[in-house]
Amino acid sequence: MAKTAKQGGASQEGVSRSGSWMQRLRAKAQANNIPLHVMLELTNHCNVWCRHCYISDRPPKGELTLDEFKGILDQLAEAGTLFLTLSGGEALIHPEFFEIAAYAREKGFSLTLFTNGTMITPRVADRLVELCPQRVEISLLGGLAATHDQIMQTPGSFERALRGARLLVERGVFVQIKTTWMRQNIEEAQQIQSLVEEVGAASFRGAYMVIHRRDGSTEVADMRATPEQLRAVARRAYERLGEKGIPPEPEPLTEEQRRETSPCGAGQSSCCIDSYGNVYPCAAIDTALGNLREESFVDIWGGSQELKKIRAIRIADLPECSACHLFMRCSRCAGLAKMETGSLLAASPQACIVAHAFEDFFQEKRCELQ
Amino acid sequence: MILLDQVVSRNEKTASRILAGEAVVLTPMDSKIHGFNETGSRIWELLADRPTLSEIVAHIHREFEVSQEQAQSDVIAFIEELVARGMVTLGQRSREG
Repeated sequence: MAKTAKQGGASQEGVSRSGSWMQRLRAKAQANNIPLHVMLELTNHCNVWCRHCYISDRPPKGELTLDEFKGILDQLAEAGTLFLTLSGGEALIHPEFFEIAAYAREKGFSLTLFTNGTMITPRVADRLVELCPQRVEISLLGGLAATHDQIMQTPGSFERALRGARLLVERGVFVQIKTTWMRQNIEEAQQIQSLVEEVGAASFRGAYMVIHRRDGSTEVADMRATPEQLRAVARRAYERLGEKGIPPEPEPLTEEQRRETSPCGAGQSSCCIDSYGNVYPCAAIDTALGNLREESFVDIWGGSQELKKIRAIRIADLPECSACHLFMRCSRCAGLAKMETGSLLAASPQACIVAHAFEDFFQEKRCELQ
Repeated sequence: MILLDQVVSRNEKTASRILAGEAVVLTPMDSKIHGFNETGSRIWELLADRPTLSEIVAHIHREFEVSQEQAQSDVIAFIEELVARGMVTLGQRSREG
């Protein structure tokens, strides 16, 4: 006889979107070929012009219609997607954003919104609250207005982003402030941290990877933080935290990890759909697996030969990275590696720079402390 | 006290999906993720149609081969727990149906 409801039916097993519960969900999704997380880009259009944005152009026509978005959401719900991230461009600039988002909630998705925050007025904030988003992630690209506005190439965007964050926090929305650390803003980490606290955001996330544009142009490369700047970040952490700021020596990969573990989650239980219906393994891998105007999602997700190849990649298949002692500390991105070198299996020079800049500093400190 | 003719509805704030037979439910009110066993997952699935308690009990009694009394006791305990966690609401079916 099957267990009845009382025998553990309502057992609460997870407390947040991080940690072991999410790992278990991802593993289950991967084992059952379920696209648990999908990023849906509603439009390439944007009201700001971030210098590091990976979207290279903004074709005025041909983006998905409201009915097409609804059809895609129907397919994703059927396929088992639970976590849906609405992105862009700027998702809120889409004239039918709220219709699409409300439909997604009707279909049971957990919503996350990526936004630059500048369009969040009190009225927009009220409407966002009605959607019960799991979280809203707002980009803050500088601790000073001049830096943020210069990177977004839009005067006033700093103040408007902070206003947007405050309006949502006041209404009880889980807000994450996030930044991409670049040459221009990495020295402002302290100011950004202060702003995160002042606004009352629930969390903060910073990323060091500046990915190339989808058109293959590499002009964003000169925005990346220099090794000296990265080293300075590690030094400040050490000055603030002392020995606690020095992580233990990195553990080498085991043979089992090399053989069994996928180096990243792209296409495993997640994917990205752009505003023209193209499906990608993730936002950073520029290989379209198919188009939803021509094929069903299930056919692409289950039938793409390219996706099968990506899913089959294991750490052992990465000739340089599988032998690197920093692998577990490295934020290598397969999409960036492909853009930088032409191969999904290659080391990403940018990721190597970041990982070594930190680890070299930490290793020096470990030696001094011995 | 829960009555058998009360209608059970999912809280519209929740997000959920049945993943390989297991209901996964997110409650954005407290940023928690909940997982149910087989029977709990079936009940969550049934809630999409806003059934009454007695309709849920009938399903569980029939599908899981447990006695009517056992099914009723377990379903009520389960729904009470969901109500306490804000995951469902109770109401009455409108006369118009």
